Amino acid sequence: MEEIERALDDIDTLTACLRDIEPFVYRVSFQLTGHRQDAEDLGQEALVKICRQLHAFRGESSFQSWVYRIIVNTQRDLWRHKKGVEFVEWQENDQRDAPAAEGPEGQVSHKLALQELLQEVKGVDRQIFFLRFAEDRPVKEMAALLEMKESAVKSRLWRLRDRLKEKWQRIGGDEL
Amino acid sequence: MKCQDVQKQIWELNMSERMIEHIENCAACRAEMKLVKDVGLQVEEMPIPPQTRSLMPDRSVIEEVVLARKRNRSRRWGVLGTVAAGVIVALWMTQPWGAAEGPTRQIDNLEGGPIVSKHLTFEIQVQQLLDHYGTEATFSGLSIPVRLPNSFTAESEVEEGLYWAYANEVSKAIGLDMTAHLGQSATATVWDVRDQMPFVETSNEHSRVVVIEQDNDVIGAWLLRKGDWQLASLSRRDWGDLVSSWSDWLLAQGFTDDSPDATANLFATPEDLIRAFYKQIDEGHPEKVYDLYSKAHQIDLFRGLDPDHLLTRDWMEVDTSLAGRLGGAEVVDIRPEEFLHQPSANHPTAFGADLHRNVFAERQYVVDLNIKSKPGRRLIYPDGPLQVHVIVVQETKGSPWRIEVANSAPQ
Repeated sequence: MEEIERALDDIDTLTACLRDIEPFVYRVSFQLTGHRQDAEDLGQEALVKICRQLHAFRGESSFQSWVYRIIVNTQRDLWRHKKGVEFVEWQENDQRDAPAAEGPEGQVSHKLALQELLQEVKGVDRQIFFLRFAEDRPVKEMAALLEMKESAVKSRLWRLRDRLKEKWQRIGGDEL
Repeated sequence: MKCQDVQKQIWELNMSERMIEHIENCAACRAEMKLVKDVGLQVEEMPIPPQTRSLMPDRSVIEEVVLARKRNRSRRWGVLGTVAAGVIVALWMTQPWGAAEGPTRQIDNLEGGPIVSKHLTFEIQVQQLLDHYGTEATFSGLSIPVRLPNSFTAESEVEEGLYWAYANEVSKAIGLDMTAHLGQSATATVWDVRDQMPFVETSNEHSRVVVIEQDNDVIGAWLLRKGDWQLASLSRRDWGDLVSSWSDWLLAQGFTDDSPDATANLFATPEDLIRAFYKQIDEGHPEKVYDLYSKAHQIDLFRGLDPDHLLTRDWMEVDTSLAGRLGGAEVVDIRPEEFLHQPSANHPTAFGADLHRNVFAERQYVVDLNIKSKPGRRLIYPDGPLQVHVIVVQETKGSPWRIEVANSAPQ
């Protein structure tokens, strides 16, 4: 909190603070969009919001959660403003062309199934997926971040699981 | 312990020690755990392409934030007094980048003095507004595009008009009036504010403030109270403080239902109204069911704030009364009933809100129905005969009969 107070008092300190979180903002933005250009647009918008709202951070949650929530909400705003324009999902992602082999066979099919799933998953489902697997957030936190009911988060998460398993089995993974 | 329950908890990251023991002894749950771990590892290893440009905000944005912070801190220095604060604002105004944005407009506090200088960024305006009323935003979570109705009583938009008229009343208490913006697009931003307002009883973790923004200016603002539909002014005045009576307010606003459209909905008797009400439920027309509720009941249904909508889109979904849970209803018989208690609508509070309400007329009926439940809505009664108790009211003299309450328990 003290660091943030200091940052708000000095242009150079605030600039340095924003620069520190820029990689995190970009990483999360990329996970949520699956596309570099969209991630840059989202990250830039989010950093402006973070800068303008930094005074409102009260330390009631971790700074990372607060930043994450701003990114998620900024993405929601962008969806609204780009109504009818779907974010390109995973099309220019380097990972798509990355070799999936290496490691035990089960892992390969898990990886392929996951890649297929992430090519399809958009919107709130994608946010839920990355909150769970990139940020290890429990359902209660996810619900608070996304302003959804816990039951809705759970059912979306379970549907994601079913879709992943269906793909995994089709690719050749063992029956679970 | 069922495997499916354990597997759900694995996905939900909510495992107990018993579940961990179960996983150790269960091949299916171990496989599920492995899948989840693999997914986690793969997400961790996911390559992130390098950025092609800086995402940093312009330096002018950063400068503005630091400057606003300094200015706000200055405002809080009560020891300097209003004269000194005035000098600071005046000095700030003389800056070339300040003057370049055109003439200054201000949100005026009805009790005197400017609250917000409108040449500032919207976020800073909100910060100043909340600061003036003794609270702070902890987060701006939502930004929802809205379109104000063409008029508060426009026929095709009467539902939203009622909400906006209600919201405008509490906005006016702090010197904001949205009347000049009717028919225009705007953005509703919803701010979590530090929960230091016992006045705002809310089930949410934070109290919330809705601020309506248009072209970077604040044009309306109010506090959300219980259930997100009760509104109050930022100056902590609720509806009861702002209007002399609900009925007088409805009349003054023009909610008299004497438009041609409303006349078509006039029913000769309350019995006709009740039959029409259940017919609309039976035919699946929620918007028409909504039209047949009293204005107080309609206000009660504005509780649909969600990430995408300021107002409910589906009235029947939020209607937790019996009517909202019926998939079909055929009226078999209607007969008048004595009130067991003092008529509820004549209490100043209705649906938990202090509306300063005193309806012109009120009657109660017993209605025999043949009901069908609605898919997806829990209903404790089986399909078939059900007796319900319906209260109808005339909000004001000469206004049409409308449904106040339609429930299975007598009132």
